[in-house]
Amino acid sequence: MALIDIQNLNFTYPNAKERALKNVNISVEAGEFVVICGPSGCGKTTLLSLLKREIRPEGEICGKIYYRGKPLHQISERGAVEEIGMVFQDPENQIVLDTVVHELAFGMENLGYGILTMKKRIGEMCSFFGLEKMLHKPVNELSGGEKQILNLASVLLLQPKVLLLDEPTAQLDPIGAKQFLQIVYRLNRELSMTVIMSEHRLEDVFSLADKIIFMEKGQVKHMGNPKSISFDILKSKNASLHNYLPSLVRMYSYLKEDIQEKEIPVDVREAKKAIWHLLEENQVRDNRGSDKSCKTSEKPIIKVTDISFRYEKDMPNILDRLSLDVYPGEFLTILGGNGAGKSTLLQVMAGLKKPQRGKVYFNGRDILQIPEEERYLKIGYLAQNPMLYFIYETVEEELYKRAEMLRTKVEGIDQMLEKYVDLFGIGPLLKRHPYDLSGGEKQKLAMTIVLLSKPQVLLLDEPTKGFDPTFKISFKNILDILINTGITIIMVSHDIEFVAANASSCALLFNGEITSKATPTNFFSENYFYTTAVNRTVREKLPKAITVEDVIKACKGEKFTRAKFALC
Amino acid sequence: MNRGFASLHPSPCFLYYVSLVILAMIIYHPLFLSLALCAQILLNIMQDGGKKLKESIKYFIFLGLLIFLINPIISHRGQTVLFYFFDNPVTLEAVIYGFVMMMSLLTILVAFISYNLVITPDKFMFLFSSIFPKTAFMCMMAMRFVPVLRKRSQDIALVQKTRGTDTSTGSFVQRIKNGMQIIIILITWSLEEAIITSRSMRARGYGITKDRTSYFDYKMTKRDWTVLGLIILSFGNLLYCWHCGIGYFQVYPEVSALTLDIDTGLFLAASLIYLAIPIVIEGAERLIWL
Amino acid sequence: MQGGKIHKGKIRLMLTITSIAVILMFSVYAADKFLMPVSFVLLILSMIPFYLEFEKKELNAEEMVLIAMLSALAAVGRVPFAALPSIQPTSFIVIMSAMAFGKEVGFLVGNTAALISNIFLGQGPWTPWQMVSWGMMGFTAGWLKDVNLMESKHRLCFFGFVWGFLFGWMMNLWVLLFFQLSDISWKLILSSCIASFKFDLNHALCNVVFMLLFHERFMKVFSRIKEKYGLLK
Repeated sequence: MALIDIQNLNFTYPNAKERALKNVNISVEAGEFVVICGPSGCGKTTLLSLLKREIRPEGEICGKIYYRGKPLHQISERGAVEEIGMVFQDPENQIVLDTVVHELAFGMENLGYGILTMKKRIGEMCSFFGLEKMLHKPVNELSGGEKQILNLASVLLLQPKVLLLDEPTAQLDPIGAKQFLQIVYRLNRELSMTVIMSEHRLEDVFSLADKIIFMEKGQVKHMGNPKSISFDILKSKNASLHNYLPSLVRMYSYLKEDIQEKEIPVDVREAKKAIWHLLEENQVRDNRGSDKSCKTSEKPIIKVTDISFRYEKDMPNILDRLSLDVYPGEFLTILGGNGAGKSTLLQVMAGLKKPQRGKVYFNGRDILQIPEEERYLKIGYLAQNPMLYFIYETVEEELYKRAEMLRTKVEGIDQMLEKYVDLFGIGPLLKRHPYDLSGGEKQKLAMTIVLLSKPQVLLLDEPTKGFDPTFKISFKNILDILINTGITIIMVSHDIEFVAANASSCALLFNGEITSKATPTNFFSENYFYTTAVNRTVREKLPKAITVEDVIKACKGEKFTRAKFALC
Repeated sequence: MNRGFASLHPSPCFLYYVSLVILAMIIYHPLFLSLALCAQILLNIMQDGGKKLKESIKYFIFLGLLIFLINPIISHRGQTVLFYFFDNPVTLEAVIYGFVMMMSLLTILVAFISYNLVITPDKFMFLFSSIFPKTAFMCMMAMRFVPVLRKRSQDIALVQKTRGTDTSTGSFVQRIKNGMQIIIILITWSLEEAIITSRSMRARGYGITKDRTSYFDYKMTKRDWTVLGLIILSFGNLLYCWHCGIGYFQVYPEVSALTLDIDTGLFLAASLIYLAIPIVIEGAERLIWL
Repeated sequence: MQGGKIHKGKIRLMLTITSIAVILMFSVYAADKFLMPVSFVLLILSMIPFYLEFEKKELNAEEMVLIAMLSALAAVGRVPFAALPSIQPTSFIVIMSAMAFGKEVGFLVGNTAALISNIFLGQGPWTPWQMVSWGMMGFTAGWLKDVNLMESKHRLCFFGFVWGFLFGWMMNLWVLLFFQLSDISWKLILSSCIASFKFDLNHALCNVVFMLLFHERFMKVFSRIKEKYGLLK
């Protein structure tokens, strides 16, 4: 008997025309690790919330959900809370109380546990997770990754049988995400806890999952173990789905004529085995970097000289004698660990924060000497959270009021507005409230707001964080168009795969300074750990190949690549 | 801080501060108040080396002196006229009353510094939640949101600056408008995000049982009971003295002499016992580590 | 949350007003020396009925989050005005919360905002005074709305203006009681009000300006939230 049995499940939100879930049939065995994958809005979050009775959304439900053979709604209230635990996407907003220990106890308090039981369970949990040191800390001193582990621990204290995870790593940095997934994996293997997790990046979970379910438009499209689902997707005609597969699987599929299901690689080790003999021993030209990046003879558009910055007098320097030149037309990405000061550097370059020492020059002028109004027009800054930008009640107002304000300062504002509304596909959204947009739409709206001032430099703070491959491709296309119009882009990112494929140069921020700056090819091929999975697989034969495209170019030539990628 | 007096259960600590403030407000004996003030200053020094006290001592002295000087100017009660100030009599009684008030005020203020060191927010919430659990829970949620909101409002201010919304430049009305703009974004955004908080509460069973418990890891040990008993006894003793008029120091209409009779002596001894409780506890802890 | 019978609210209002009046009378007529402890006890007693009411209510997660969030917002409302030291929007947020969500919420938001900002900045003998003052500000706003006395914007502005002074006077009373000056007379109270006139006027005008400029915006934000939180049903 399956632990969870979903039969013919249909769900419609109130006032929605289309069903959010259509004839979903899934069965989950006890102890299985299930990953639900698919583009944003495919219904994976809806499906998970329907499994968690307390947060079931309003709407019309049709079909059956069985838990241990009983309809889910017949389980006792207490049993439903205890046995099915859920962790949500956003680490910050899930936390209810002010210190770690209170947050841990929250669920148990709600169920009226005695103090001794709570104490015992918290003690045990802290030993398992190594939380002793932060037990009495205020939660706002934790990093995003630690917060998410706290959320998980708080749920686990109720000793659930099933763990529902709704894109739990989407907002975390790569290290935090890996740590979180390791814990989940341990729970699954060591305690045989059933895990159902939604995720649109398969890269990290591919080797952990027993079963992957691919959903699209509310329907289950493919289902099976990692190898068989990859095989299905690769054989299917819908090439846009290929982007959801890990890069190693894609690389394998493009290189191999007749794909074998059992050969499909789930990690670097298997990938090496599967494609080693297919690789040719030739060097990949440093092609992408050289044509896009600029001649160094040109004057830098932004010149950062020996800046030092700290937030408070008694705190250590977060930026320490940092220097960096950015040339016109460049697409520079700044990489670095969590809390390395990447966002701070961006804000200093935007002229929003004044460094204690050193200067930032924009076109040869000291940035802080440029009047503020002009400064913010010429240097566009897009913060991590697009919500910070919205003032009005409709998208239309947001854009037209901004255009009105800029009319005297920027030429041809109306044409530009039209162009961007078109480019970003905002047209159909004009009457909506900015807060009701999807994550990607919010990001595009905020970007339009920034771009309306016709900036020469655009600073982006982790713009692809938490987005699905479909969004990333459309975002990449937008960036290409912007670069062609001559905008210089500086982007902070953790997304190595995106950076490797798109940037014209990369810089690593470490210990308060830029330790290296190079084209992506040189940057990543010189790294040993901090590089793409593709590069780690092929580096002995093709040391300069860092993306799937590079490998294929090297092996099959330019033409083939174009034809193959045009599909996506 | 979890040493000395602060290592006790919150109840005896809280009771001690409450009783001290009450005594400082009703017993107007200059010697008692001087002892109490000294004891509180000593306690502060033992607790954190007087760091917190140093931060605010100048305001306290200013306030104390203010009251000391103002009382004789506005109050003309009392029979012993010292001199005339702008044709108004300044009496010895009013001066002494001002002094007593100053001591009382300083004792209370200094006691609150130590109170804030000992009764941490968590202990306060524990005490609060033992009477009003739901209200205390709501306050704790609000306390969780405060640092989040502070960070968000700074982020919003930074981004809105690039859109010309700035509270540090422009006309006064414009600056107010800009500040409120930031608040409106903060409110809209935070209330929107807080829906996730309520979902996460539901998912962990909030509201399914009426007998919600509270996890606070404080329990009364024998030592706590002993100290609690000691505080109640010595406080009750002083209250009784006060009730009987022992240690009563008359100011108006005519100031009484500061005599040291047996009654006063016993009263001061009782006060010393009461005032010494936290200091002895702090001191005993030091002895262990000598 | 909107419910709660009006007569209950009236009783509570009367209780609090009576206790404040009693403190005043004590301070003026009785040359009693124990004003401060008595006033404290009365103040704390005046809050208890509200807490008891809240304890009895069964609030769902959304309502708890909403009240806690509004309180926190009122408490940190000063942060964006760091460059304008004389401006504080706390009173405005408290009044607006009461207008949108009723008098109980108004009281709790004002009360909790005062309490938590004191917990963060350090508690003192003034804490209960601020808690009661802001709590009553919220409560009276919601109560006057219930009895249809807050229909027009002018009245709202007037209300904010009056409370700007009332709040200051409550604080004056605290200072006077705390200083335990030997002769608390009407004259002294009056002179303290004159001394604080500038600050109170500033507070009052601040409330009026916020009401005039932002009342509608706030109401729109709150009605959207009401819908989102399912509080309209």
